[in-house]
Parts: sequence; C-alpha cells; structure tokens
Amino acid sequence: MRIAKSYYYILLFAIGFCITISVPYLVHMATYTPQKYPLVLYSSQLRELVHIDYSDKEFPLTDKNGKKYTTSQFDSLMPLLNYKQLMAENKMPDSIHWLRTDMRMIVSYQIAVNISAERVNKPQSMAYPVFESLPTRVNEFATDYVFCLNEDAEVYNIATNYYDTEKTAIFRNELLKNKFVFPAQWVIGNTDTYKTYDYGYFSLDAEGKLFHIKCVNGKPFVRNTHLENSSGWHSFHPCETLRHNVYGILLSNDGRLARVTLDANGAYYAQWLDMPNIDPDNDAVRILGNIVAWNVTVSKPEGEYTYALSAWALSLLASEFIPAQKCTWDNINKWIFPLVILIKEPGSSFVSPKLISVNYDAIWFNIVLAFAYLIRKRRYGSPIKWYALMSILVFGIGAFMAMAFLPKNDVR
Amino acid sequence: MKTLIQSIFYREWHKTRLIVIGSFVVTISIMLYILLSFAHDVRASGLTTIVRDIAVNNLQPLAIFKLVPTILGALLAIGQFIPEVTDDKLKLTLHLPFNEHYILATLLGYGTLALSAVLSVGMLLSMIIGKYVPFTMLNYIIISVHPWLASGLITYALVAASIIEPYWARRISLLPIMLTFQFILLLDSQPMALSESWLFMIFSIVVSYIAPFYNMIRYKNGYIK
Repeated sequence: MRIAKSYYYILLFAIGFCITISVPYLVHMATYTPQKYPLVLYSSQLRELVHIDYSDKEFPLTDKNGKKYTTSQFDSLMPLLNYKQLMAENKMPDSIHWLRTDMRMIVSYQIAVNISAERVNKPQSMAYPVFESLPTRVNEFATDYVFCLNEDAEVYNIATNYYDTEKTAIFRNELLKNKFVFPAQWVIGNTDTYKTYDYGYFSLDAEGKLFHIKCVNGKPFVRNTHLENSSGWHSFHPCETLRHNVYGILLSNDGRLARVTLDANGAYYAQWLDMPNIDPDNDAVRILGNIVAWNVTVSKPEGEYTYALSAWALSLLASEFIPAQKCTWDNINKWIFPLVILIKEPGSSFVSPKLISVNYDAIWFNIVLAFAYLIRKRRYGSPIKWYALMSILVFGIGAFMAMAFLPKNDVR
Repeated sequence: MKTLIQSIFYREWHKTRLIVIGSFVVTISIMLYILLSFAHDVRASGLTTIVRDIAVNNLQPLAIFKLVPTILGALLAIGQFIPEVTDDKLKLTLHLPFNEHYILATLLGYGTLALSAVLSVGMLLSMIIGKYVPFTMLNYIIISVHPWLASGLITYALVAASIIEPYWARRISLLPIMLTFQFILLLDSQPMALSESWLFMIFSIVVSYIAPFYNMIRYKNGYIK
C-alpha cells in the first residue's frame, strides 16, 4: 500500500531525527569536560599578567616567565586583590601608580561585569519593575509599579493589579517628547532588588537610538544618550560601582565593547575598550576592574584571551592567550556524528533543536556503518535498498539506528 | 458517516467515561490547589514580590501542572485502546464498511477531543491568576504551558500507537520518538523557553498522530513481525 509506505518513511525520518538529537546529547553528557583555565590577572607591581592558583597554598602566583612566588610575595605583588590581608598586616602601600590607596578608594573603583549571550538571549516577560532612582530613604527604591515597553508603553500597579492610565499617559508622553520610536528592540537594566542604588534601564528604540529611562521622584526620566555606532548596539550589560560613575558596558553588533559613563558636561560618553572584537552571540566576557587596570577575559571555543586595560584610558597594557584543552567529546564527536543537533543552542536560553555543526570527517564511520548494513542484508538474504545505503552514508548513525529500530520486513 | 462518528463517539464515551470524568476531577483539583497555593503565597509575601518574581526571576505559578497532560494522555489512550486490542474489537471495527483511516481518525478524534476538553477546563481555571497579575504577564504564563499540552497530545497518540502495534518488539521503535519529544517539551519549566520551537511542536504532533495509522495498517493486515 502506497500510503503505508508514506507512513513508514515519515516515521523512519522522525526516528532518525530523534536519534540524531538524543545520541550526541547522551554522548556529550558522558564525555564532555568543561574547560578549566587558571585565573589570570594584571599585577600592578610586576606590570604584567600573572597566573593565580589558589589551590597551591605554597606558591599561588606564577609570572609570565614561569617564576613562582610565595603567599606573602603574592600578597605584595597583587595589593589591589589582597588589600584586606595587607591592611591587616599593616603592609599596604600608601599609593600605587601615584594613586592614593586607602580602603575606600580601592573598593569604590572595583567593578565586576559578566557578559554572555545567554543573559541577553533569554525568555522575558516584557514587564520591568520600576525602581526609584532618588529614594527618600536609603535602599528603599523598590516601587509597586512595573512598565511594559514594546509596541506601546504601559504602567501597571502590581500591588492592586491596576492598569494606571494616568502614569501610562505621562510615561508615553515623555517617551514621545524625547522622540522614542516604538517598538523597543530591547530594554535592559538591573532588576535585582539587592543592590545599592538604581539608575534605571537602557532601551534601544526601533530606529537604533539608545535611551536612558528611569524613575526620578515618581516621574519618568527619559533621555536620548546620543551614543551612536555604525553597526548598531547589540546589548547593554549593567553594573554597579560605589562611585556611581559607570552605568555598564555596551556591546555593539560588530563585537566592540564600550564603557558608558557621564562626561564632565553631563553628557553620555561611550569609551571603547582597546581590545579585539568579540563574537556577540557566542563569546562570554568577564571584566574585573580596579583602580589601576581592568582585566577582561574573553572565552571562545578555541581558548581564553585575557586583556589588561588601563582603568582610565582603557588602553591595552598586556594580553595573553591560553588554548583550550581538548576533551574526549572534542576528539570523538567529529569522527562519529556527521550532524550535531543540540537542544539548547550555545549562547541562548531558549530550548529549540538547532543544527550546530556538520562534521565531514565522520564519513569514515559512516562507511563502516554502511558495510555493516550490507553484511547484515547479505547474511539474511534481504534485498539491498540503495536509498537506505545512501542515507547511512550521509546521515550516519542516525539513519543506521532508525533502520534498526524500524526494519521494513513486515511478516504476516 | 455522521452516524458512524456518533456511534463511535458514544461507544468510546461509554468505555472511557470513568477515565474522562476522573481526568476532569483531577485537573480541576490540581488547578484549585495551584490557585490556593498562589493565593497563600500572595498573602505571605505580598503581591508585589510575587509579580516581580514572575517578571524578573521567571517564576512559573503553573509548574505543578507540568506532567498532568502527559499522564492524562497516557491513561486515556490505555483506557481507550487496550480493551479494543485485547478483545479484538478493533479488528471488527476496522472491518466496518468504511475506510479504516476514517475509523481510526474518529477513534483518535474522540480521544483528542476528550483530552482537549479536560485540559481546556484546566487552562480556563488558570486564567483566575489574571486577577492578580497584569494581562501581559498572564499571557506570558499561559503561553508557556503550550509545550506541556502538546506533550499530552503526543503521549496520547504514541501510547495508542504502541497499543495498536501487534508485534511487541516494534513497540520499542516508538521509544526514541516518545523520549526525545517528551524530553525537549518538558525540559525547561522557565516560561517561554520553548517559544522558538513552534515548528518543532507541530512536527512532533503530526508525526505522533501518523504512528497509530501506520500501526493500524499492520494490525489490520495481521503482521506478526
């Protein structure tokens, strides 16, 4: 029956597709080892990047020439990292690079930002909590309002589940007055209530203009930052500092990073980081900064790059590359699986089967499977189906196991 | 044709009425529990905190409902098709003077409609959460449940296919499909995590409903291997 054949081929394709997803997933779970890189930071005393290994209690610090340093030498060579220990022992220098170093100064210039595509590319409710940026009482900036900003602006009182028409109108008028064009491409800010202050959200409108939106004394504050970039802005990554001087890091579509601050005239200023472009959809970036230098670590599939940038000018001081160590998964997957379909795409929090890689080296394993298929057919005297042979040669283990699960030898 | 559908529906209802009524009771009970639990959390933590958790931390109030469609789908398929196969009633039914595809489509249509009715009642009750959260966020919560509902339909169709299949070893051939589809659809409770997988959901439902038709042909023609 022709229709029975159609059903058979559809089910065969579906089983092959499911096996192509599930078998690499299980093998990946069994064989993949995450990369472990040493902590690489900039030493203000040695003026170079050094490796820190906290598990080595005797010689935790290694410089670029391989020389190892004891714990007390490590404390002295990394004063901005071990300032608490040095201050407890009364060994903290008065200044570093002509900068006064007391506890307050050191802590106020510290900054930590994590940038990854998964933090941006994730499901969102499109409702953002409204925080008061100038609260009357310290740390009481949470309000009972949320706003939605996509096709239109809406403000809800979540304590009473009431759509506040008055506040919505005020908010909408403020946006239109500042020439905000709906719909917003993204709205990003720090939505955590466990923070020392709030400076609102940054939003990209439909025309690619970047706006700063916050609530000041119960009224909406909307300003066009006039920060422009030829390739457009990919995302914004907020951070808090005790000096309240850095809003966060902007990432452009071509992979450049910029620090967003206010200049002396109160205008928004994007200072580019002097480092190579990253891949905004795949690379993960960690920034650990202090009063002297920013340590920027970029994790890529081929390894980890670390750049030390001047904290003031963001110019490149030093850089280092540590290649990735291949694990069992990296060694075997290209030889066995011609197609690798992952359920969760790297760089995204969405669940959706996506083709990640096509491995041409797996043709040799496919040939072995094709031979196994031929031998089995010969042994049982069954006719060889050429479409089945071609499927095994192209799709490999998925097609082979599908035909094993659903043989076409119906017997009455 | 209309008489055939009515007759088959009546017969299936007569056979599965306890399971369907029980499914309604279970779904309504679970939904009422979810609503009571949500109201309790609102009284304990405050509505502002709960709504902010939904908006920012992707809290899913309906998380307890995740496996309910899958379990109900399996139970309905077992209750509907096992008596058909053990008493060989299905063979007689398929030999009625109608196309066997229409007959099986009617049988599956009854089960799908019954399951859909049960789950629709559950989803209607879940709308009561809209009393507490803005409409945008209610939309966000409800749409997130669609993969679980799809999982229920897929389980119903594949369990029915497994029961109809005459050869026990061939039932294992459906395992890769069932496990993979269920794993993907039930993997992440995070709201809207599968919002980019509509095509995959439709593909998995279509394939799952083709499997009973293939096994029905094998059953009717008496294939033993």
